[in-house]
Amino acid sequence: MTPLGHRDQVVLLGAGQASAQAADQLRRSGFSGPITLVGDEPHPPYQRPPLSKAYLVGAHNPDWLYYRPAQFWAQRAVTLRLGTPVEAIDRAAGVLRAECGSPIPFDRLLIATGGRARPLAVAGANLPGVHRLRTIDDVDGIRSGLDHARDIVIIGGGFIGLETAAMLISSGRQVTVLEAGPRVLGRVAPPEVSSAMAAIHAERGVDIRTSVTVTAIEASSGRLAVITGDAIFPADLVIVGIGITPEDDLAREAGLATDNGVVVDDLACTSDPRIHAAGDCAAVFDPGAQAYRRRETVHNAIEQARAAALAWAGTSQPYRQAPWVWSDQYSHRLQSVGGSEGADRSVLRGDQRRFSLFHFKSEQLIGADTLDRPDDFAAARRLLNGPRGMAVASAIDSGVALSALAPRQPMAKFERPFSA
Amino acid sequence: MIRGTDPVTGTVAVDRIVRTVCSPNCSGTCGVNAFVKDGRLLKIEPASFPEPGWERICLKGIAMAMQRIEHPDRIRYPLRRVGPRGGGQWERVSWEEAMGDIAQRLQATADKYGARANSWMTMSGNYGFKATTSPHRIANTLGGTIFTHDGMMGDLNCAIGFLPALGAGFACNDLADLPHARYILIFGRNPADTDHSEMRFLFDAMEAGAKVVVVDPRFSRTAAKADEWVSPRPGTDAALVLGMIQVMDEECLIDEPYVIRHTNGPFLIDPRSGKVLRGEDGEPQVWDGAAVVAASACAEPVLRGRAQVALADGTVLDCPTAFEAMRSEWRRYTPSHVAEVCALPAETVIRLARDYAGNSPAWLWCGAGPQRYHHGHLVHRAYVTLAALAGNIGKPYAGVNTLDGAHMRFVFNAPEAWTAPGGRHGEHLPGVHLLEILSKQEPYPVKSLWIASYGMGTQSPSFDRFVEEALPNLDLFVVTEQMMTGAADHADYVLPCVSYYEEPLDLVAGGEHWFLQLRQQAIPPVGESRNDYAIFADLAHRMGQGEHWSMDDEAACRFILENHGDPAFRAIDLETLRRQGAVRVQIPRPHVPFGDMVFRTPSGKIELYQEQFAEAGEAVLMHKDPLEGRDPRYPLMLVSPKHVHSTHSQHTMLPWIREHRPEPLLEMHPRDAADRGIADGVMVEVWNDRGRFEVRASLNEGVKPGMLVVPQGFWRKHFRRGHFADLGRIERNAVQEAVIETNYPVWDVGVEVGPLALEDAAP
Amino acid sequence: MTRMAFVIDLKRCIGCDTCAVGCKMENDVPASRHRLKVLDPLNEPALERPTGAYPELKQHWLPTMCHHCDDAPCVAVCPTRALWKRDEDGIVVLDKDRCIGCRRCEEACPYDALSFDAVTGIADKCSFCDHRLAEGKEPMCQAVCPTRAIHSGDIDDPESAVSRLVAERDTYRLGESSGAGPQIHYLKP
Repeated sequence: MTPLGHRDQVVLLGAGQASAQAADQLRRSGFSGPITLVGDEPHPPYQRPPLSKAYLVGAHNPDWLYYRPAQFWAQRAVTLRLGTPVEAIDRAAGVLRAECGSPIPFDRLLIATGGRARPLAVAGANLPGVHRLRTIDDVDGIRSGLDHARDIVIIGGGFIGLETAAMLISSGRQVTVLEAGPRVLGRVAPPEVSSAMAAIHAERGVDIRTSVTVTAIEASSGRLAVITGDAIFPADLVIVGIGITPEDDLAREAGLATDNGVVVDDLACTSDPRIHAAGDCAAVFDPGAQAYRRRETVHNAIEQARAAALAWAGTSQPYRQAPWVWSDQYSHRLQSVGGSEGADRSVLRGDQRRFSLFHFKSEQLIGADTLDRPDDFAAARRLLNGPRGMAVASAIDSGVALSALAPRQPMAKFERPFSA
Repeated sequence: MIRGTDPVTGTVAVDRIVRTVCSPNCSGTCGVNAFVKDGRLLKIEPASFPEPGWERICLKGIAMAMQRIEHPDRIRYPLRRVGPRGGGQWERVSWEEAMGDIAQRLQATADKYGARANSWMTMSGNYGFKATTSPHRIANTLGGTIFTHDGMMGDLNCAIGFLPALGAGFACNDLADLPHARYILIFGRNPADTDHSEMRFLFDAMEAGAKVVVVDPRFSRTAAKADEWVSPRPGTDAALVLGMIQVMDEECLIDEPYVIRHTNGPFLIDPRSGKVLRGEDGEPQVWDGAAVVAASACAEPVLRGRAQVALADGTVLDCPTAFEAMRSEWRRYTPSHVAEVCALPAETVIRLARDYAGNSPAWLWCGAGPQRYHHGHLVHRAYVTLAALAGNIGKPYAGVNTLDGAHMRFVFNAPEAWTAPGGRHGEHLPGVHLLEILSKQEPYPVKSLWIASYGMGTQSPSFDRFVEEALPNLDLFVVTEQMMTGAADHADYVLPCVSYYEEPLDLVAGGEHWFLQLRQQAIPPVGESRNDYAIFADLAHRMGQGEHWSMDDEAACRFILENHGDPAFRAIDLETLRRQGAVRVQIPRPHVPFGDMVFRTPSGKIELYQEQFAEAGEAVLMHKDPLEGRDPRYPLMLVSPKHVHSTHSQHTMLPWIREHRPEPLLEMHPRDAADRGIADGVMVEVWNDRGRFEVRASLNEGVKPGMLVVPQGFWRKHFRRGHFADLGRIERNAVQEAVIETNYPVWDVGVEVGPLALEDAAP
Repeated sequence: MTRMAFVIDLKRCIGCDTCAVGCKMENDVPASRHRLKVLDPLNEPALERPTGAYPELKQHWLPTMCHHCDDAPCVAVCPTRALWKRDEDGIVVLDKDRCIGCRRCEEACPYDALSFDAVTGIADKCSFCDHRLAEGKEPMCQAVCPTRAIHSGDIDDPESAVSRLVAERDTYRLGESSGAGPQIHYLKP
């Protein structure tokens, strides 16, 4: 692929972390041509993770969430077209067709449209008082209803659901989490992590119900009622956090390959060489699962976007790092790297409250889940991203310091190593 | 988060800021602003002084303030032992009970053996005047025995080398004047480690163009900064200096008019006795070129050569001048001879001599390292001799420099009215012979010992022998301490004393500067700690001697100032001191030791020739090898230098210190290690026939082959087994005893080292 | 514009660790973590060994903390803007409330300037003692250095002490090839 020329127009579709990162990396790589960042929300790129945490209850303005201060975009000559929904990607003409306003031409396009909160497909899902949690506007809506909310029901026991529960539980308030699967965090963590987190939440008074399917939500005498197979949960506020679906319609309609997301290679390139995709909307082939998978993590958004930007700048830096994710609940920090799918052996270090779980497949380290053990997380990540792995025996032997197995290598070599 | 930050408001809340002083024997005596909140120290910062440029603090002072005051091992109330000594079993008792029992037992001892059977000993842990003089004061009050700390401190040979020659035991220019020197020759001193608060003046001097030379067997931090590093064999500095003198003599670099005028060099020596030839009136005689005359009657006596002196009975004496007599010794120290003795290149000796004699002002800065050998007094005598022959003593920014400052004048000239209240005096015994005295109970029975401000368990020699041989003879052993030290472990009573920050009021004079500072209370005493003065005042009252122990802390400080022997201190009033926190002691500036060329020696001159030691064979300056290091079984000299991470044993238990210096390491040259099959980082055993200890080895090119280096200040428990202080010995030195007392020759220790046997090596 | 920088005189640095310990006190740095480290040429500061062979030996010490780089790699990689270079004075600040403990900064930093809390994983690094600068005081390392080896100030002000030292003396910076534009200037030992 020929690198970008300085007259080429770069358009970043979507105003999220991936687009922000791409813009930043393009400028770092020396690209001085026009960059336009297009987003349908009225906000400049902002961070989503705090929405279910500090921003949910904190007295923050939206600008606390922004990835970069307001003057950043102007300083780097990035044009922001916010509040601009796009109806189509016209590949033949090389333009984006916006709902209003003139078309936006591109020589290179990054599709970073993210995902939308999966709607709850039951009656009553759109009643007032039932909220999703994906955008600033969603959270502003939740906040306005919090003052009088004594009973809160959270549908979905994934990261968002549990983080939200942790922020909202307080004395005088009942928080119930309804999870369809047999355990919380079922899609993202191994059973040991699920039970540890469930216990922590239970200690704080959060009522977690698993294997529960919501069949309807009803309004009754100014309150809501969440109806499941076995029980009815009264609520003043309902938050639905059951995952996201990728915003890949525009890509599919434009004839790009999609498979539960925009299909990309490890340079974040789609089936059209001018077009890359990154973030929650992009799907990569996972050889372990033999399927295309999206990685709904901040890390993925950053790295895919970087890979795209670097590819345009003429540097090929495939994104192959082990995926990682974190979740803050109460004062606890879960950090995971790699995965546990297909593991034939898992080794536990620590105790039920602070532990690290190392997953092996055929004696190879494939992932780690840690609870309040950030040093182990960092070591595991270095081991997974580095040339050497870790022997099962090292994981078992609590006398082995994992950080010593993968010592941190300074990135830069000092030019004159002290012998001045 | 910033220490002391309020998590809600984000501001650092402080109740008050108190100016006080940090003062262990690093001698920095740093003024400190203590930030206090809710009765606890939040942090400290360097305090200002009446003159700019004296703000300083160091990692030790910071660690001590933050981590020692509330250390888990801090003693908070009086402890009485339960079970055998050293058994580690203690019970908490009240002060009333402790002091009541102690007083009773001291009285019983006095009744049975005499008052002098109760003894006290202190060292240098606290420069606070009231605190550090209280043990001496109580001993005098009760007629008890004070074990002097002079020799036991291990640097007494600095004074012993100076006194006979100069009539003063110490001298030093104001270190702030270092930038005025052109050539700074540092013998066995490591200011980067042990004068680090003043090291900036040395750097100022270097930036102003001074050349700095460091003489030290090992490559110290200061050597790393110097323009030149000279590495003689340990304990051979006197030989090196004699070599320099020899070169100066050969090359006519000696300042002869100065020597004639200001030293006893011209005095004629009676060859029969080795004493100065005297007339009938006792006057020293000189040769004026034609005849033998009284020194006072001769303006230009001859310096070199011999005079034929006819006696009344007809004998003719062939009398050399003192200078000639000394010359016949130093002549032997040719560069090639010195090269052999010191294991140095001959050219180095020549160059040093020329550079020292040829530059002006040439500042000779002498440390305590080279005198820590049995004959160490000769080393400092050599430095004095060198400086005198170069005409440097009494010259501004030159001279021969060891120590001087407010502290030396303040504590060493302590008013008798304070230290011997009511004119009562106790006895003195040399602390350097504590072990011998207590185990043999000679020259008289001593049945109790009370120590304060003394890390005896770590810093004294052969503490293991003290426990075995001396302690059983003591009916009572009391230790005043803040922490459970090695000595406290073996006490009958451990009494908690306050830290610097809890002391109500005390006067602290600068170790290496000229300010007197006020120590004011920053935080309340931890637990039931009391200050040293109050502890002894309590004792005095219980023993019916409370008359002179009734002043409160403030009255005591006022008394000390008003009654001090030195007018410079009498001129300072407590109110001014309280207002300013620090007051400069008024001495003439620039401070030029002996600037008036007045020497309080018998002749009034610099006595290079010392007839009082003629019988001992040391009338002339000579070099004598260390006692040890020649035995082929123990050929390596073991040296334990001071370093920036701990002042003696006070800081080695503090976590921040241990983060930077985790364990004691035995440093040795790779060649010596290879010869013994010692790899870097392995555990080794060091031994001689007096003891052994185990430690980790570190191969270091900075260590001169033939010696081993272990950092002082680590406790017994920091070594896998034993302690390096177990391996030394103290032999009486007649010359040192004649002047003051034998100096503890800390580094006159020959040892061998080898890897630990495999079966012993597992942790 | 103000750009805060350090100048550290390696002729004067005696490796005493007072800066490191003073920083720990002032900034409440937890045990076994450091904002400021004093390195030596062999990277074994606790062993205190010179380079060379007896008697041709050299030894010097090098304090290092966050270099508040012009183009800080940590700022570039931080996913949450916890690390940010301030416009008004060039100090790279760390907002612990935003830190998610991902350690990308650690991977990016050429100077090992970041350490992490053992339980939360939250980063910690030199803040240029901006809380002290706000009160007109110097950074703590500078305030406690016994040999006056540490200087700080505005490198964009030609009259400042740091600017004059850089102009008058032989200086170097660590890892210039990283392109980060570090703002600790070392006066050669």
